[in-house]
Amino acid sequence: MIDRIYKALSSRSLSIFLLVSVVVWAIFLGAWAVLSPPHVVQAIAELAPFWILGGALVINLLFCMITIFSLVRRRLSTLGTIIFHFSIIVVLAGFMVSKYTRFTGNTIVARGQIFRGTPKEYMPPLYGPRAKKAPQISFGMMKIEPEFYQDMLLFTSLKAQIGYPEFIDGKAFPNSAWIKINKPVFMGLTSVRLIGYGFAPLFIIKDYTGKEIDGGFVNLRSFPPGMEDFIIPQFLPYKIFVRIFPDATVKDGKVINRTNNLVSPVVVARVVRGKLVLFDGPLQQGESAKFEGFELLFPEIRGWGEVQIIHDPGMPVILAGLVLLIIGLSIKFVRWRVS
Amino acid sequence: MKFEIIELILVLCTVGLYALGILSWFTMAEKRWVSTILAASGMVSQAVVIAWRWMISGHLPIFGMFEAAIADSFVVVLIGVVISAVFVKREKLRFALPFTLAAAIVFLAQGLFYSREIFPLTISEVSLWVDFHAGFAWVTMAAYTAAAGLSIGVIYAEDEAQGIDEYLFRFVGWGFILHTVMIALGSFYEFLLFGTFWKWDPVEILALVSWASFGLIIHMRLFYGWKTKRFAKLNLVTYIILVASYKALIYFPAWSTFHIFDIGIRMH
Repeated sequence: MIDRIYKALSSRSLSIFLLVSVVVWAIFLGAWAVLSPPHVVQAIAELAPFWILGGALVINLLFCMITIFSLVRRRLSTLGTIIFHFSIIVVLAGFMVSKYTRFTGNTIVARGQIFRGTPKEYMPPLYGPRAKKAPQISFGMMKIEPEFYQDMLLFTSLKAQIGYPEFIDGKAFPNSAWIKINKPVFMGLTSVRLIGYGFAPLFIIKDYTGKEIDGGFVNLRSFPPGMEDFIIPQFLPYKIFVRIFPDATVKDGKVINRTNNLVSPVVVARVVRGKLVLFDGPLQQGESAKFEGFELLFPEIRGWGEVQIIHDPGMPVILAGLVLLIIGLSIKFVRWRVS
Repeated sequence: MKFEIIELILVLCTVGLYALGILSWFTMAEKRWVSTILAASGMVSQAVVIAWRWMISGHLPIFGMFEAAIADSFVVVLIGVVISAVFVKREKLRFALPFTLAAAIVFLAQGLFYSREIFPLTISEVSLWVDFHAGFAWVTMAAYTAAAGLSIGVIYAEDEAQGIDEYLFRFVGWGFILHTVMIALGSFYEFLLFGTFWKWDPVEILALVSWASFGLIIHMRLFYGWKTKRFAKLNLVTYIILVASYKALIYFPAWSTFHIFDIGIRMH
């Protein structure tokens, strides 16, 4: 009985059946991808058929490897076959580890701001089964440097310099690194990459005596230029809608933006109380908006970076699996000779 | 004359030379070297296009369908010319050349339907890893195309089938290694870019279809001894699956995949 089960699980026909199933299942997913958004395809891809097929493949591979190891002559090409098939199991195991331990969170950090890694600093939603347990990291945003193609909304470069961690042995930010969208910095199993850019204006509200009563840098969703976001002052009944044009001039009350580079910004502010519009117009550097005895200024605008933080213990396992995959195949086929 | 016009003329010259290469291969059986020379001449014309475009854009031709077409068809023809030049006395082995030329014409024709406007690479594509990934995609396509050409040689060979079959399997094996490296590099770069090795994007799903299909035919050969004509026919079918999975991605909706790089299509 055990012998029959062993033979069935390690049979060649089962291997072929599983390979055909993988092809058919992937074709089905490909057809589905034409009709449905990516997140739906991802959800469908990891339903029961994937786990059944994956589990069956792993079992078949394990039994086949035992058979190969025990029956076939010990040659280098056999070693290649074993390494190759073993590496598929390693890759699948890595995906399992990743699926059940991974953390993904995004945060917005302006130049000069420090990120300390507490859960409330992340933007919702956080992803992954360990989403509530954020990785223990901290960094400070030192510089953000975007570059654009001509006057188009096409980045030719976007990089940020971060210092990390905030303190170690009494030293602040002992390490620094440039991060990009495709060049994360690794802090152990945690990767930190730059995935977005925007403007963080410094707003100041003064009362009629000239005393500052509210203000600070605000990370606004005001990029690309012209996109509107708003600020709600802490103790005042106003809502300030803001649009930022980073390289602009004002001509006849109209804003003309030249490029996307933060060179000579103009803020178009609209201050409302309830449905009453109290101010609506462009503010160049040094200008202020006056309404109901208050004065609103935007003396400085900084860039912010959207930073993605991913903690993935499955990463080294998958990476090792991919390397083994190539090594195994190379041994198998490079040793092969034309007879 | 503007670059766009000269480029179009050169591409059309390339297509013409490749077509003449195929024609001469079939009509001048005693002088197969003519076909090789014509193919090599087409490659020179194509190399000028690639080099010129590279100089202007500042990046490898990897951005958009047209650039992909001029790059992969060049490598595909290169392998056909090399096989034809190296195996002068193996007539059926040299069948790889007309097949690679025909494939190159199809790839170039498809590429010409898309914008030839030059754009700088978007920041997500500026990486040596992307260049390696694209490079391996080209040589993978070249190895499999040569194998498909040899398959036709095997199908039509009477006495030589056994000998060609060995080379056919060698090319499939090499193609499978290169294919695996290409997918592994793409997966690794996806981790750098998105923080995940796999996210069921259509490009990954289609890569899985073609990779598993080649895995399947390799197993059919190793397990059940499917060789010569049977394996050659199976390989041709799998090659069609590969080309469809690689070249048909552009017909997917632009929102469904990050792997469509034609700026015009993405914007619309």
